[in-house]
Amino acid sequence: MILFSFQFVLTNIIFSLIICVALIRLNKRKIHSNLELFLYSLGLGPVFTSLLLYYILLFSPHKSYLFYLLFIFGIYLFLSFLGRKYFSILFIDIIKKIKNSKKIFKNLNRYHQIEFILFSSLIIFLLASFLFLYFTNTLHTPLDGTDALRYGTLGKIFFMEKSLEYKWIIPYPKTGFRFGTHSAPSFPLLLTWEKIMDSFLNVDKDTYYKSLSTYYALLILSVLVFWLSRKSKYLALLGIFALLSGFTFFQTLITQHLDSYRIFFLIISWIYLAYAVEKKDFLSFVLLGIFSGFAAFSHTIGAIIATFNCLALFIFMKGNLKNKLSRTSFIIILVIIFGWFHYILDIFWGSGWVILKREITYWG
Amino acid sequence: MGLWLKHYLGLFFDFEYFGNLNWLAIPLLIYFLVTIKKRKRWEMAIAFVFILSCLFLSVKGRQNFRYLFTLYPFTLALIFLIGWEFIKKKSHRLQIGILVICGIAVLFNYYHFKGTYKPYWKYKIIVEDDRFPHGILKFINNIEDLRSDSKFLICSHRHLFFYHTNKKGIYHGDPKLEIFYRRRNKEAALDVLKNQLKIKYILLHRNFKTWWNIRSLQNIITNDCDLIYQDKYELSLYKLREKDLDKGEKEIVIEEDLDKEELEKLFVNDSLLRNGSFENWSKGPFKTPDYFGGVKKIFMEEKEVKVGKYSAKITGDNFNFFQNLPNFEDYKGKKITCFAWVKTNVPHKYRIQIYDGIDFNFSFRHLGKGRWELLQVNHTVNPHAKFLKIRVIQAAKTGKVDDVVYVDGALLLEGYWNTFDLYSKHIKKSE
Repeated sequence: MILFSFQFVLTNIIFSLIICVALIRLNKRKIHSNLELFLYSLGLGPVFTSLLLYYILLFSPHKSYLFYLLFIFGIYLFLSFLGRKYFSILFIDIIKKIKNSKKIFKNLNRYHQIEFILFSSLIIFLLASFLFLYFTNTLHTPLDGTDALRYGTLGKIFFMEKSLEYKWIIPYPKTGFRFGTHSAPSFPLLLTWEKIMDSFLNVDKDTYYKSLSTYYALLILSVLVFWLSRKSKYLALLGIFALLSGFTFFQTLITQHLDSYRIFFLIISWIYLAYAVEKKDFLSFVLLGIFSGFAAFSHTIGAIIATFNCLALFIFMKGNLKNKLSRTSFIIILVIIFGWFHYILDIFWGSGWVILKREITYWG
Repeated sequence: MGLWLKHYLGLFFDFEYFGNLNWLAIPLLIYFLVTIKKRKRWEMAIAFVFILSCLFLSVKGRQNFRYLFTLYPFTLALIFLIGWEFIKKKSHRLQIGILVICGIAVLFNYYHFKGTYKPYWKYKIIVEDDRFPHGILKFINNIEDLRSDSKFLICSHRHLFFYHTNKKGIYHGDPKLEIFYRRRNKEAALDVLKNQLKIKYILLHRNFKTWWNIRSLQNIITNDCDLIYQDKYELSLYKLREKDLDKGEKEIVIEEDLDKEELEKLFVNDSLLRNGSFENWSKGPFKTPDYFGGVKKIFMEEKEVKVGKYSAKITGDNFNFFQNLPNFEDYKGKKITCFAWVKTNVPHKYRIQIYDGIDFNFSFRHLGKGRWELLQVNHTVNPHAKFLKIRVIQAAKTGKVDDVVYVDGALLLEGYWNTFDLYSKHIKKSE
């Protein structure tokens, strides 16, 4: 659990925080709330790490694990340097928010104070009970479920080979594993990342990889609560129960799957599509490109919907044709860098994605 | 209608998977389209990608609810946000009333589909039901008698094998296996399996269906494999028997070599089942034979016989023809094997089963080609077994009540057996 906690805090919290402050640097006009940005950024640490691993394993395979680890840390160090002044701004914002909440609470009459305490207690009780059961039981169940296992096997292969070549060469000659996927290997690379960290301590676990589905499902719930609580806290509570009343979401919350991971990026990309069309600020465009790119990087469905996002931006953005074209092109470049690159590679030199469907195969 | 509600429009009407509030998106969407001229550009952009995504996922991903799931959280958020716009100017009481109604609908959905949640709750949250096959995977990882090119044939959940084991495998759907499937002759198929594909073990799931139609694989498992591990989670591991034919070792074809007399001797000496060859019908030829029960239309058969003078001819659908073992407590925690000769023209309807009140195991289903097939089931009796029911015929429900099946030579032996062992033991005794 100590190793898992370290991996979790490092990848999901610290890396996300570093990306968040780098983004706050771009939020000069303060159009976006830094706390909202922080909430969405909590999903960026793992996927950005996975993207970095993707590029480094693709362009510089078969190096030592230390090399890959240092590369990742180096990039985050550079990002920390870029956003070094903004850590304090984010911290101050969080403190302000807490103080503000205290002030609001004090100004409430006694009836509303009791209501607030009861409501908060209910939410805290539900969350704490779930997390208690999750960390004591659910997280320790072995990895199962078709998708988690096959992406996991792919992640193990990337780790062992220190290369992405077996994403395309089917079957894997050392075990006979045969799995062709059209999606970019973002999710499997998170297991590769965990194994790289494990390798320095000579352990072989998959706890961090198993926790991802729940982590992103909780992030989706948080985003829902964030938006609905702006209207009414009871609407937000109803939203939580309503979302869980669909069995698929409940399943995603407690099993190991990539669904919550891929869906999170799509949802946030749509939020920034709305911001980009409405506010037309630079950060909204950047985040639309980044989140659409990550939606593509996490799954084929995301890759297709990312193109819808670009189309929607082009159609509904105000401005002349030149302006529309230049901004949409900027978004397209970001989408390619943050995920679509894989599909371009796949279409022209790989298995053809969903368009050509070539099979690259040999049997050892 | 079902195709539309569960697939194309599944996101809105599949209450089990997506809750019972999502259908509200349709009237809200219609309202949005009707009032589109008043809408802001960002609202239109969101509606545009949402509708496009809905169309794309409904057409291309309708068969997989997980694809439709992509839009579920966003759809629900939209319903609440747009719905709130409707009610925010209404009275406080009306707002509470609408929220309460939605809350009741949500709770009803939990109640209505509690059966869907329950197994996951037990398996993943309170971890009361550990269904994961730890034992067999550990066993596979510890196997050491494999050469570098030896493989497992995986007639099971392949990803479980590839993720959790360190062995080489070939999945039953692998194109490489075509050369095996094309062989009609069992010996040729066995040769391909052993010498070309280098298969040494077969990992088989109880519900693995594809192979029903592959007679040669069924024959190989029955006659040329030793069951070396069977877990309570439906997985069995077989090892292909290594015979050196060049050294004069005899290749045994069980269905020809295990003849009537030999089997009869086994009944007298070893079988735990009473009247397993159906020789005693003290209640009459149209009533169940002695010690057996569970069927109504049964006849004492004299022509279609495999062992002794009589067999049992059963007509009907959806039944269990069984014998309860009176001294079942003696076998708690022990391994047992049941064999029965079965003949029928109806494919994939009949099999045999052992049930101890907690765990159960099935044989493969009869191929229904009108010939006697020796069905076999291995079972480890649960230490807390409540009884031991040996269902020498279990007929699936097909709706055809006139289907006929013959059963004869039912044997129950202590330990894990296969037909080869059965034969070898008898030969040994005869010698």
